[in-house]
Amino acid sequence: MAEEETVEHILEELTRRANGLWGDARAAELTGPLQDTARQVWEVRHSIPDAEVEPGFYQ
Amino acid sequence: MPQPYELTIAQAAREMREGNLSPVEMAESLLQRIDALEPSLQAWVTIDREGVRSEARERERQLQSGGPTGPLHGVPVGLKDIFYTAGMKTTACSRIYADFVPGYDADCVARIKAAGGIILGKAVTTEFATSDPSPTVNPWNPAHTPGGSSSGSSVAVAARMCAAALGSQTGGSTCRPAAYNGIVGLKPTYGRISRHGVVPVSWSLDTVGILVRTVEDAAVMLEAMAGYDPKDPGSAEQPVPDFAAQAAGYQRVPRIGLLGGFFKEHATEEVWSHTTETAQRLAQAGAEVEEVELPASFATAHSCQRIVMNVECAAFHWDTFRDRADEYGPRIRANIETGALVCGVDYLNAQRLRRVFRRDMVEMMAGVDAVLTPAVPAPAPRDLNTTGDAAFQSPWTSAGLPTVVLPSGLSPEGLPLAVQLAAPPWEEGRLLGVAQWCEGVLGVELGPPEFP
Repeated sequence: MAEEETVEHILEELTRRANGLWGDARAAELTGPLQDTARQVWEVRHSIPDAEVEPGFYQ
Repeated sequence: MPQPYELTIAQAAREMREGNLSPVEMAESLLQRIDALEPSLQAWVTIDREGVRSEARERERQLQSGGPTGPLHGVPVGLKDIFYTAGMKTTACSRIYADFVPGYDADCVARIKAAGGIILGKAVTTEFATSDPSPTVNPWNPAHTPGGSSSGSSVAVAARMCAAALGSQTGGSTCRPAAYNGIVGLKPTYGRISRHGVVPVSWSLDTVGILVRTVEDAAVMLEAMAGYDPKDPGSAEQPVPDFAAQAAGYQRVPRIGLLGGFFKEHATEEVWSHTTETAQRLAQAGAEVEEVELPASFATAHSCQRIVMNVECAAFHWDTFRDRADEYGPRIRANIETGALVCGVDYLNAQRLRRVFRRDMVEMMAGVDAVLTPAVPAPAPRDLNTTGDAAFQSPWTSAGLPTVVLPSGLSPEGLPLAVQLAAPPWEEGRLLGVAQWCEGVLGVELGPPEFP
């Protein structure tokens, strides 16, 4: 599934959440930051590390 | 002797030790300097005049009586206005914290005081140390941004209103303004200096930063503040060496890795040429300079940093933000609002990628003493609606690795140019040693033209 997912799909997903959480008007104002976030999330989803890698909150 | 306000920490300490300068003279000189420049530079939120004078008199009495003196004895230090100061407002330059008076000092502030330092006041930050520009002016050219988020701290040090100030770095907030204002910036290893009592942006990224005018002073400040603090969950139990001695005692000719790739592609032609010329000068002085390649995991470093920063920023502000969103600036508001939308799986995978990235960056540096990059893609932008570009800092912050920014020249339009050095975690002694060696070779000490 991840291979088929595009930045546009993620942007739609984030925009739906923004509409629900912040309202349609505010979500429309967030278009630029939402596009940036969608691209960042896409990069992360396409670079999943090996299964044994745990998060390192405090390095 | 130069005016007291012109002295570095090391110079001031020497003059005080030899009886040529008193802490009171030092404090008065800086206060007069601030009175003269603050109306135009707007670097400060609070100046504690009476507190500074009272502490300076006490430090003078201690000197006269042969009492205890620390490495910062009698030296006034500025604090970015996110560091808790007992009894003194800590506003984070926000409407939310406008009247907040902490009941205790941040751990690093307490350590500065214990080392003999005097808290001069609170310097302007961008709101909550994020990216809404502050009113502070770049002393090199007021039409250009001073950078951020440690804008007031950087400008205060550049304009000789104090010899040292604290900043912080979540993306590029210490080393970028250091570069834009022509001073030395140090971002230590994550966990080296306690964050307890520092208003957070992002718990797993925030690092206390140091803004000074020489590498030696950076080492003195680091040693004064470094050390384990159980009140900070990110604090590390690492030995604290004598950083100044390590830096000064660094005898070997350094092996320096020049990082191209992303840094070359994103720097202006002028900045990249300056960086390679700087590397050549270092090589001519004896350094072994070789090109080093970034690991593949660098590709997601910026995205991981942004995701982690925005999600953690949203988490910290969540309760307040839901009721008072209109009281936040537009950029931090957008950070919070987008951070709240990222799902937990994406956040955790970004954290996992950071761990891989840190491992890869340490491996990359295995054959060299430090790596060299341009400090910023271009000199301070002529745009007061931005704090500039943190792209050359945020990967190091994300990996938790120590970096130093050194002034290295002036652009044709008279703005500071700078280079950045980085080293593996906990190797600040080596990093500062290499930086001090480079500082000596380059011989660049900058002062804004109006404030020579």
